[in-house]
Amino acid sequence: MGTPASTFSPATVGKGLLLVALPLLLQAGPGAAWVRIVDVALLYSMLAIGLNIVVGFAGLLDLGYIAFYATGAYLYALLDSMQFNLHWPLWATLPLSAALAGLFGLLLGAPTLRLRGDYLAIVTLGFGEIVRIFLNNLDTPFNLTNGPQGISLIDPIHLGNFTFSRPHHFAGLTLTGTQQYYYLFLATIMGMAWLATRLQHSRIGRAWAAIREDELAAAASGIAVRNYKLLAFSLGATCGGFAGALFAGFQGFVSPESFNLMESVMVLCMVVLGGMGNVNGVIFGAILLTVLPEALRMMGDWQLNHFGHIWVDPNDVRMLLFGGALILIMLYRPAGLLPSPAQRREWQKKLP
Amino acid sequence: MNTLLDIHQVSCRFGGVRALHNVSLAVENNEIFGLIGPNGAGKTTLFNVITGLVTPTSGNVTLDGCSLTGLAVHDILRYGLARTFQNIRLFPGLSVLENVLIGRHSLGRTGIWGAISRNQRTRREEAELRDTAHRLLQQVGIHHHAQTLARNLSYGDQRRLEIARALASEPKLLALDEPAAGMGQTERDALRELILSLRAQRRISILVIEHDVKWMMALCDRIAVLHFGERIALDIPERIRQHPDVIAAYLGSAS
Repeated sequence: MGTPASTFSPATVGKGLLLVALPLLLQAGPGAAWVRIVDVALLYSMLAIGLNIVVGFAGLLDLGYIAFYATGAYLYALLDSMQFNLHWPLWATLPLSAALAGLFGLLLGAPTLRLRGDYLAIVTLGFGEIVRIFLNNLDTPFNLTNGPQGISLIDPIHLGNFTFSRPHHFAGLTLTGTQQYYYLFLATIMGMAWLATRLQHSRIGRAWAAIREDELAAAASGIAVRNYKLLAFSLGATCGGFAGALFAGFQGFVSPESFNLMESVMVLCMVVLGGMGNVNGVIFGAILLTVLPEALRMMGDWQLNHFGHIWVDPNDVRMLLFGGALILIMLYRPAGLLPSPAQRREWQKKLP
Repeated sequence: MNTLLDIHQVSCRFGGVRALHNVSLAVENNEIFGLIGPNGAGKTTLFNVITGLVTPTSGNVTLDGCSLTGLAVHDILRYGLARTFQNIRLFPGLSVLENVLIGRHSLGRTGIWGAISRNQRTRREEAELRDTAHRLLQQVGIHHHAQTLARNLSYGDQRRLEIARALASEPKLLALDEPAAGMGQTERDALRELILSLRAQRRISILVIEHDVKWMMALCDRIAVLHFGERIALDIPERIRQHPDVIAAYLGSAS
């Protein structure tokens, strides 16, 4: 628990100012494309926070997490696009998307309560694929999701007359759409991270930790294991659905392709790489794994400029580095780059 | 006499194996009750029946008048029966203090709203929780390890932590499954002193399963002996020692 004095230390104020100024600096420096990359990184951070509740807190391996992202994204897309010519206000679609995803979390959680480890991973993986395949095929018998073409022309996120995708003037500054999304996403993440941390350091978080450590001992300590597992699944899914709705409005387009297994694996990697169980760690992991590949992509342009030819395809290097990094992390920092305090203690004890 | 735990005509079959046959016994209030028997006698099965891991084929178990038969494991704890495990089951990656805090889960009331808002009731509950947990750790003598990870405790201290975690739920009956297994003589004696002092301080009943008959004789008020799933004796230690069936069961009969 932080002391009140540390809340407003110079370092914290500095970090805060940097976070506020970041989109302006990026726009002025590397360019507008980077503001967009950071926006995407923030969306992934939301997913990482949500998945961390399931995987990091309660220790339930979920390989189909992206299905909840898809649920939220598609519900927003259906309620705010030309698909059915519906244009619901944000205060209705966001909570509905989150709630529907939370319900899907319960639907996935209920039949998998008795499963652990590998078996749970297989079922959740299947669930993720089922949702994607449904989205891919629900253009018949009546056209709900527009099938593989996806839903386009989704309304941008708008609050009353304020549309996030349009530039606005604030105190002499002109903020672009992506910059405004940045602030919206940042605020959302801070809210989610705060909620997740509060839950983690509470009776509920301790019950999750107990289930993660030893399910039978948890039950023998009076923890209703079933309820707490369902709670974790459903809260994690709620975060995913919320992020999905924001994604749909931000992107303006959703298709089943955006929600494949690789995405689930990617979010899981963010959680594992960043530090399972540590909220700040998983945000770090999400940003790292979104920004690094983009930085590598620049390598292609650099080769083109210097050699007039691409010798090494940046895409190949990306996967190579990615795999290599994961192996190194598992070998040398198995608790992640920013491990949770308990795991850090454990890790330090193991060092010779 | 006040009966706390009443095991009534419990039978348990696994396929063709008769693990328990019409076993009845009763643990009184504030009593240390021992359960002994040779390997395969059904001690652990009986223990699992009491703690809800195994549903008996027939018979009934009541605690303070409430039937425990068919209840889920976590509900049984709420009725006032806490247990430890034969092969220690702590939460190894959590601190000693956290282990005890989790043991008190059933007495907490904080829900999602309380956890998020951290309102006054939640803060009061947490403070009370921590006070009690520290006190319990002092009582079992591992308070200086409060921040250590459970897996880094010595074997004997892990046993003590498991007892502290079980006590945290304020049970009426504490059930210990082979608490002295794997301990040296000094540790065993210290553990016996601890169990006796817990009974004196907390006025609870304690049910102990153990192989070490000599150790049990010096600990228990009464002892039941199981043999091939049947209760062959139930008496005070001095008379158990002389009981012909018990001697036959342990040494093998001449017949």
